[in-house]
Amino acid sequence: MYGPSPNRKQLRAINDETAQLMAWAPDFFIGFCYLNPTLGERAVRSEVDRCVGGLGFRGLKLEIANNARAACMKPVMQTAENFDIPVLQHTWSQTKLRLRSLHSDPDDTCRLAKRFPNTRVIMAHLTGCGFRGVLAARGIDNLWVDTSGATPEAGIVDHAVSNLGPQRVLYGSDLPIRDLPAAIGQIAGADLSANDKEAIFYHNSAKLLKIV
Amino acid sequence: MKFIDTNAWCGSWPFAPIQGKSVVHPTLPRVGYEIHESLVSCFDTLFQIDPMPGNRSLFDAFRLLKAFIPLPVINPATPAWEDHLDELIEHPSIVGIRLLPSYHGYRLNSFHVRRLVERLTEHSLRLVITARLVDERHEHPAVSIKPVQVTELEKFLNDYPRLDPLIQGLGVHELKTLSAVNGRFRTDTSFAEWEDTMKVLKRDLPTSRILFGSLSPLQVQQAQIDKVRLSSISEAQRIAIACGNAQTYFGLQ
Repeated sequence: MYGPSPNRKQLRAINDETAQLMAWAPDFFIGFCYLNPTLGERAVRSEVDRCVGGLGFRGLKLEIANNARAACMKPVMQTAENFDIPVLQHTWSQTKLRLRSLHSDPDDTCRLAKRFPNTRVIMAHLTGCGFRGVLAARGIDNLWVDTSGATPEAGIVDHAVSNLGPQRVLYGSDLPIRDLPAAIGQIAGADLSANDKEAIFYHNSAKLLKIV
Repeated sequence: MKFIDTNAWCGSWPFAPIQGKSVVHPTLPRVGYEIHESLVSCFDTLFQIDPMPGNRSLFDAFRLLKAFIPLPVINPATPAWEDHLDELIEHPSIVGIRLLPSYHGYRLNSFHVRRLVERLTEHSLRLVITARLVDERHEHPAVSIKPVQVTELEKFLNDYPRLDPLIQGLGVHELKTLSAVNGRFRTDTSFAEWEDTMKVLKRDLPTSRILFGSLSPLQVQQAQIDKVRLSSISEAQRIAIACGNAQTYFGLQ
């Protein structure tokens, strides 16, 4: 709505809408505080205090205001560590896109997780991260991947489970710009055990977000 | 709900570990997945200059499996394509042919495509155009295959107003753009995706012009089926997209 780099007022409006959803259905919606790290440490801490400290949000969400390698990520990650909440970072392979000043490649998000080992990082958009992204994520204990993004390409969820373990993969839909039954069907139709599918659909996120 | 899959593939795909999901396995698409019939093309026709070895293996593999209808590929950029077509139309099960301009390096306005359209019309065969097989953002770094552009498709449709081809692999925005300028085409569901995709597509295209296509085994077949089966459009419309439109279009029993 406001482009890749919203200002403080716009961020507040976005997060207020999320808070409204949480108020409507508190047992269903779990708010993630949308941030623009380029606004600086004071703006980041202020919005996180308001949303996480005051409104009960349970994570931070970062899109394409900056690359995950940027210096402005430090206060974001330290704040997440202080509140003990995960950071979801939009990630897409830049092999073809070449928009790396704003978009984060899997290598960038994996590097972020390694730089801040005490902060839990969700590397969003497994299909966009691709097979290379899965391989980059191997062995990083504070990193999870979510299954959102793009059409339901075959093999990628299976590849993530076999390389990272089923406990490292989280279901994600990317609603409202993707089809919900297709997002669910990508996991339901994967060559995985019923236990692994249940873990991806629910248990892994519940544990990560400390809601069980 | 029964489905006719107008966009299924078999053979070797070099870029992802999907071999075990190939529709060559005769039971996979039918057990639990509700697929009644599949129109199948062979990946081997994509990367070899001569598509006929792939086409022949397709007819051989499915000769006794009536649920799989071969949809062979013609490459009009090869010198012998008319001989290939002559060979293909001898098969009694043929209902149409598939073109992949992006993979074979020609434009839809080429002389050979014009000649091909004439030949297909003579034999009452359907033309299927694959605009995209893979999300171009996710391609292997060694290849760069651009989808067929909407402007090229628009010009093609304008050049052949009575052809009514099936154009597969377009996204919702591309379909919206193309249908606004020329609605004389059919499309499949393989790459179209938005929240409640069928409802979104229906705003710009009559449901009679939407055919189910899974792009299996490149895409998860169950996800593609659920996209139609669980859509909020009416049951009659879902059934039409799932199988009725393909039956009518290809003249299937």
